[in-house]
Amino acid sequence: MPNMTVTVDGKKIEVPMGSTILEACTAAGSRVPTLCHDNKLHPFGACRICLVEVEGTPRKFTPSCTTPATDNMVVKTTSPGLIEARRMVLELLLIKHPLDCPVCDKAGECSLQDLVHEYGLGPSRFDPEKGYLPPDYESAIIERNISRCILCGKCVRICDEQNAVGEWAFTRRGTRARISTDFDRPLDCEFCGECVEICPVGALTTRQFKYKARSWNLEGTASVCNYCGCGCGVSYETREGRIMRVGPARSNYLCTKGRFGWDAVHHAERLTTPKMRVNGELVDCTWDEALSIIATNLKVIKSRHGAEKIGGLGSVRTTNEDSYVFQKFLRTVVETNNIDTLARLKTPKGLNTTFFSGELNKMASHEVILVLDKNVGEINPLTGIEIVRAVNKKDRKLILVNDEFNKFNKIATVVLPTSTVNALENLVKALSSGAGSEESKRAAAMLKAAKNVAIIVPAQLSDNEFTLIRDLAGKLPEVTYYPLVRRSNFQGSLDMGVMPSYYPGYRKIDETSTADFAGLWNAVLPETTGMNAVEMIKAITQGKLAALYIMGDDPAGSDPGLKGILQKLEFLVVQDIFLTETAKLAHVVLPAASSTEKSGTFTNLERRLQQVNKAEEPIGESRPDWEIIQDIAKKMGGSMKYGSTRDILAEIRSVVPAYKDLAFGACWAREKSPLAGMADDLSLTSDSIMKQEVITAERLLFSSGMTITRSHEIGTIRHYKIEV
Amino acid sequence: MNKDVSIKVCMGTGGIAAGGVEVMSTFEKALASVGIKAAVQKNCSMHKVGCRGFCARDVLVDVIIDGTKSTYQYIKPDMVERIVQEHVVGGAPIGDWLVTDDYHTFHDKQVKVVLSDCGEVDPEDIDSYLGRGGYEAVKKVLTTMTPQETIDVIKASGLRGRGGAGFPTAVKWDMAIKATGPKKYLICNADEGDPGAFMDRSVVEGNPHAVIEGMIIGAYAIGAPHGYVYIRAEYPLAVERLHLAIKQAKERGYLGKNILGKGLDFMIKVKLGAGAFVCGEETALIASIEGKRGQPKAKPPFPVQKGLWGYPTIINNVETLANVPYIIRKGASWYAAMGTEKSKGTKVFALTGKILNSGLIEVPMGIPLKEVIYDIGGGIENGKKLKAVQTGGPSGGCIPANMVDTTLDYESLSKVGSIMGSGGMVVLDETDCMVNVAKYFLQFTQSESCGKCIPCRVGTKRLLEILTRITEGKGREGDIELLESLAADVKTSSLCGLGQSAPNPVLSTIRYYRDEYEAHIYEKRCPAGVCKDLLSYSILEEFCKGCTACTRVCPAGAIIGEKKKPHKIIQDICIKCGACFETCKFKAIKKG
Repeated sequence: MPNMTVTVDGKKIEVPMGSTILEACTAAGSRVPTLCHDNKLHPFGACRICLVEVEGTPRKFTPSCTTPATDNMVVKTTSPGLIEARRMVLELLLIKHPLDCPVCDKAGECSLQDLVHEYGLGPSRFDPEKGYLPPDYESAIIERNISRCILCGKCVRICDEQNAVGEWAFTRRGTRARISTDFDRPLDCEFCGECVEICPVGALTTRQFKYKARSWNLEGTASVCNYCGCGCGVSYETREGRIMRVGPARSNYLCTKGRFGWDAVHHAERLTTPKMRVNGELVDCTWDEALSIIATNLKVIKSRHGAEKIGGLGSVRTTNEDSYVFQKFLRTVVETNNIDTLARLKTPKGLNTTFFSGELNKMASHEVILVLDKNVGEINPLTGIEIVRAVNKKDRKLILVNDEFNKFNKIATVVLPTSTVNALENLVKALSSGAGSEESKRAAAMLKAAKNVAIIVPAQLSDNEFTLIRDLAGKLPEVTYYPLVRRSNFQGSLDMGVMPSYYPGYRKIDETSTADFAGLWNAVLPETTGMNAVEMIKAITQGKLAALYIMGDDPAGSDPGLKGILQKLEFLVVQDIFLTETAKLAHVVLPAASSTEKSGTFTNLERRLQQVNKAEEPIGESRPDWEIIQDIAKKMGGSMKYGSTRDILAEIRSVVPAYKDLAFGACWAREKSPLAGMADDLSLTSDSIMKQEVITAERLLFSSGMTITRSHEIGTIRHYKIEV
Repeated sequence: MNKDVSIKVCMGTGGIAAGGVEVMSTFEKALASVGIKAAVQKNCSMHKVGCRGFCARDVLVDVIIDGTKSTYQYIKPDMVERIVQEHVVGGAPIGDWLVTDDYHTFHDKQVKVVLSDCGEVDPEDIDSYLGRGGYEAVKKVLTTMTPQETIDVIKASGLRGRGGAGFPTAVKWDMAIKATGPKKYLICNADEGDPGAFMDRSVVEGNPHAVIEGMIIGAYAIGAPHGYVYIRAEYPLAVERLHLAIKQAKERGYLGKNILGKGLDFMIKVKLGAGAFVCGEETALIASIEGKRGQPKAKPPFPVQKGLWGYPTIINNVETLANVPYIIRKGASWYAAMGTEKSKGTKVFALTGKILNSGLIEVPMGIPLKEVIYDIGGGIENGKKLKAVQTGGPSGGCIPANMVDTTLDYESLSKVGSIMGSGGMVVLDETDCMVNVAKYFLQFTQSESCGKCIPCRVGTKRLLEILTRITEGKGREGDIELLESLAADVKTSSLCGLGQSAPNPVLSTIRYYRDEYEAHIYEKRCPAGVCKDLLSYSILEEFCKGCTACTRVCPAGAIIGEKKKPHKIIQDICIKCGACFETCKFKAIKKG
């Protein structure tokens, strides 16, 4: 894009064509105050505090946020007249503002407070009008304090423009105008809290943070959200070593789980001590007791039945380091390849072979977005947000497959109101023969005309759907896939080789690779591939698996039918942060530290390497997973000697080529995987396991797992939508 | 005895309010009764017509016999029988009921373009309009002119937007013709919201086809296949007639696909506004049509770049569009010959206030204000003295009596601190308090502020608050300066025209009547005797005869005294209604 020259406060700078005056001022390093402006939103021009002087225009002052800069424009950001006008705006705002800063949670990070200090406002020339309206406590999670509202409309706009929810709106007019929901009813939305985040004053606050801390007493720790595969950057804000609230870090968005659901780790039912089964009852014990029992039992079972009768189910929510150490422990110490995650049952076929996700923040670079999973906003909220941003900010076209109605219908260019498989068949037909319904033809024409297309791949795919997507993509010039991934570190667990037939880095287990890894790890490795999760479960019923080590997963919680099967095990170890349904069946239960309490790395669905940083001390006696595994390995005669997660990551980098020079925050390229473009299928299918969908009275968004259901804040949201 | 009789009854909103419907039906009955038709022996037609301006004299009835027009005023149903018998049948007009000379002086200085067919054509009958040359302009542009030539004619005529700002119409259309996009829209802004203004309503009620014809020509010129008329729902008659006119125009092939076989497609939709004043602002109007909250957006992008549903959109006012067919028919030079150098043509004003002949007038641009007040308006009511003329409604300002030589055109009005606006003209006399006038307009703008931007939302409220306390006698030292400073800031900082012009009534009254403000604040006195809280009534003992007339009318029982002895007003009880002042025959009540 060509540039233009703008002079701001005497400084000449080049900015791209189409920039606003405000953007030019920012580029020139001149700060212009704003109240209603945010880079995430369309310019609004309501607060009139960003006024500047532009040479040669008929109007005395020009609003900088809404006015495009032009070539050779000369702008002044301060002058006595401008200061006077800005002071007037602040003075007018303060007439009604309650000035209850001492009890307002926003104090210290309030734009109005900051500006009033900056512009040094003294006694007002106007009579105050403190019409106190009681705060609205009726909604879950979010409190609304109308008296503090300055009507900048940011909440209204973010909810509409970024979220496509539109829960807030202006009602009434003039001085009686206010922000409200429909008829002032309690909020019934996604509860992402973006409106609270963007509110420049304390009009919207959260119950979670109410009276918890003053903003200036908080310390931030940058980390990664542990809920879904998007892996949004979060900032854990702590006071005296305890998390008080969470804010967004990298992606400039957090969903309700990311922002409010972290409090599950403060739940009273967190496991704080190891437990062992004595006379059929789980009782507290010491770490040493617990670890000795595990080491002894595994050794005994190994020598009695053979290593192939021991298996391990890993987690898709623990760090890369935890997963790496877990599989290495099973392979080198227990000497089995019976390693897997149950989460592979709930992933799309073709993930990491055909489907490699594009970068989420580049969603808007595609002319057309084809959404094949109507639940995209619930499964991967950030993917949903990026779609809305692409449509609303960049005018991208959206083709939505949805046989129901949700927020995406409101912004879709074409809706195909049918099942995914039907829609795909129709699109393929319309693209090749031009036949089909009006909608299919319109959608096909849009796809055909597009330079590039983003396809949102459903979280689960049938073989037929998989083939159809490939057929469809074959007819289009350029396609980027965005597969949906439910769990935070699913990608990482695959990368780390928590699979029975692949070593870390997707090296297929064969003679050569086994020899390589035996050398790298200086260990004896099992000669055959192991059982996958489905085979392991089957093997238990057939008496072919005697011991199972489960790290951070809850099979019995996801599928009650597995309870009886797991009870048949001779020895079951469960390592988790809660006493889950599975843990209740275990012989030994080990308390793990949560992701807020440890360091390491996650790899999100974009294959982005992200740093998880410790924000608080592990609760009770809980410990990071890798430390626990390493101790057991040591007791079993293994040779692991990692001092920290950094040591583990260094080893990962030396073993997994894709991670070799991978910088934090960067995504590894699909070419780095030996499976790229291959026919391998990394998803699992089963006719019996985890088949039944859990009936929930709440939306997927608020009830997607056992951790989120233990969040107090999320629990306050009441929803009555039944999903089967 | 062959006669061609035509009877026209004023059926504008004013005419209907005065009883037009009853008059009309009585005429119909009387004419239909046996014998009349035979007696007249030839055509006798009845028409309802739109407003002809002189609403104060409604119901106005024209009886035209063989081209000789007699106009009756103040007609009631019971007078109809005699008119039919003596005039229609007998051929002798009833002299007592005919309009008087001032009816003619009211019209003499007017030049009617937009209103030329109002009051003549039957607004509910397209043939009536066609009979007076209607839709000739459409035929002319479609058969003989290119869109660019059409715009050139408008440019040569010098037509400027009649909505208030006076932006040259041809320049606007020129931008639209250059705008590219799959769709374009032409919107007619009939959201007339100024208090006391009824120009656009009268045009739509009196001659809706002229507006439609103007829109067709505009659509042809800019290449817009879709049109909207945004009209307020409070104008039910105008809406009804507009719908009817669109239907008739469609039936005759002036609207729809392939108009007059010339390949032009154009259809008009009517969108009813809910009455928010701010929806007269272009971007708010567009938001309202889109079904969104009627709230202005920042410009740029201007509607001509990104308007309705994101497409290039032109918005013209009713009066602007109604001018267009006449300009096309009679030529640009005919139009440009009227008016001043920069303001061409005529302008319709709603003349109200303390004026003898209130009503709807159309005058050539550049006419001195004096002529409008004293010749057309017939001077001030009740022999009082002119104090000021307020033009431009709540966005306008006051022109004091000593500047009555000011001419009515965009430039002169802005020079004296007022605006042309959409054409409201309120005449004020010596009994009007200027602080109160400013307060009145601020009350309006304050309650019509949409609340989006801070200066307008909070600023107008504070201006009103200060004005209110001044009129209540609670004005403080420095209030005038505070008003001036706040008004200036609201003017420069507000988002849209509403806020940018809302302080005008304050600034203009301070400019010319600062002494009145000072009297209110420092002397706690309202020189015009309007502000109740600054008033007191007392009885002058030397004049009071003790007739007790005042005690009998006093609703508060505040006047005491024995018969035939001077009375007294108890100030604590007095509610200052002024009833005693009006009643006293001996001028014994002192106001002040």
